[in-house]
Amino acid sequence: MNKALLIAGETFLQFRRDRIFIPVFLSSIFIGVVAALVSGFTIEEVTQVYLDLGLAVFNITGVLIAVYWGSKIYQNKSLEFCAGHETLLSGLVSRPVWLLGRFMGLVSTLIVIACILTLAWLFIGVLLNTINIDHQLPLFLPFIGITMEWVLVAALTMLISSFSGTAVTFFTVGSLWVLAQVSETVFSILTPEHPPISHMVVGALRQVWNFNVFVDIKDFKGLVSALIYGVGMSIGFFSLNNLVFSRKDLVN
Amino acid sequence: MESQSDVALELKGLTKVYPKRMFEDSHYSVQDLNLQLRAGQVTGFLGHNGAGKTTTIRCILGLIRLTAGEILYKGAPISSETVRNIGYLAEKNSLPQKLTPYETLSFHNNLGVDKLGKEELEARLRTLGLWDHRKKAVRQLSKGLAQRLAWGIATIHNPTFLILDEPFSGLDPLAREMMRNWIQKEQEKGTTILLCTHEVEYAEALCDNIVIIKQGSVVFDSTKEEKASQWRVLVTGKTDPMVYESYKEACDAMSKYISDGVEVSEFKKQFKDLTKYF
Repeated sequence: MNKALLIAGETFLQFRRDRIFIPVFLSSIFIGVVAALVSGFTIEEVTQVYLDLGLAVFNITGVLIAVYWGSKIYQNKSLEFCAGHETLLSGLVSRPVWLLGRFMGLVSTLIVIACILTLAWLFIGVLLNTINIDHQLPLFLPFIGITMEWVLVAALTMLISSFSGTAVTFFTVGSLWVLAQVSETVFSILTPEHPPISHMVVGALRQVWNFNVFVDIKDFKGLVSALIYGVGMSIGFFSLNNLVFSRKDLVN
Repeated sequence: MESQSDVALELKGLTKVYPKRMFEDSHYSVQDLNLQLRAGQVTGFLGHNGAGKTTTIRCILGLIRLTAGEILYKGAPISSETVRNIGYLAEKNSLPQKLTPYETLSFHNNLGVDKLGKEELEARLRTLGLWDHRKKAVRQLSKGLAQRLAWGIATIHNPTFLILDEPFSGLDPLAREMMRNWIQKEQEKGTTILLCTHEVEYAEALCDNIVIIKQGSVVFDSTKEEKASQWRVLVTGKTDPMVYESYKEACDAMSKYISDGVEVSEFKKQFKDLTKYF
């Protein structure tokens, strides 16, 4: 575990050196201000518009970062984040420990990014009187849920990239992410005229692969069930990843 | 007959076949490779590009799974425990680009069992000639400096076995000499070294034994072909060495020099026309 933590720390340090935190902070401030101004011109509830815009930007930003960095974990050729894995894996650390360390490093980076984005968003909202922090804080629970979604996407990306190239990883994870976003909606628009098999397949998909659970969080109970779903899926993907990686020939 | 303790590493029938893939036929990278590396000696591992040198090294280190064969380290099958005694200098610069040399060395140090203290680590950085560059990012280092750092990582846990994959590749003459000196120091310490290189001159100068592989199989092994090597005796102050076809002849000549009070500056094995095996 100690070695995994060391590798996680090194991974975090390398991600931090990628200078992502400052652009994330500045862009979140910018988008927050724009969203606050836009929400002021709408006829709907100001806070809800501000929140919806915030969640959409928050979600997409984090998913892109998770996919981009998750796909780099195995790329020795890029000589960026994970250069040196040959030396590390030839005796110093076992493959499962290396993988766990890298994953923990990536997750901790995503959590820091989530904190920056959420706090910047809260700050702008309070500053421009778009939200009332005393009464509307539970509205921000989905930010925690979506952070869990990023972790899940990162685990999925690492799994796919362990046996495929960058382009295939981006395309596959992108498609699966869209599928998880729309599975609930597709199920809701099914009518009795559709064949029973469609109901069955889409219904099963909605049960298993549905990222709306991370966004539609109304209370702490919803948050807990979203976290259980996210952690369970992430552990599943990570275990599969471990299985694939342990049998993989490391040939650059 | 060599005793088991003389052999540090033994490869028995090592075979690696890459399976058929889309747009790629299956192919042998290493085929029934047999090799013994003697403890405390430097073995040159030569062969043209694609001969299977790096695949063999990766098999030893457990980075690639064997299709068939066996790897024995000091008589026992190699394991993740025993492979920790092996230091590895990779062919390609595979250093974390965004860390500093100090952070990189410290990170590898902390992952080992016998850790160096802060002062020892700093001393190691000075020995490597990286102290003035300790705060630069690794990606800002020249090839020569990066190779020094890679050497530092490979030797930080004082391994008893070193695998050096193309250590001279891309280095300027000064850096090559520095690398050569470091290898010689390890040799003097009694470290077993597998030196994988294209540089025949360096292999001849540094190695006790030479193995050449072609298409994944050994085509020359100096430990088995005594006629392929000869012995060179250089008398102090002279430029042309005396060359003898056998170890015995060379020893006899040496005894005579010593009894005559003549000082000999070099007594070493050299290899005959290695390039014909490529």
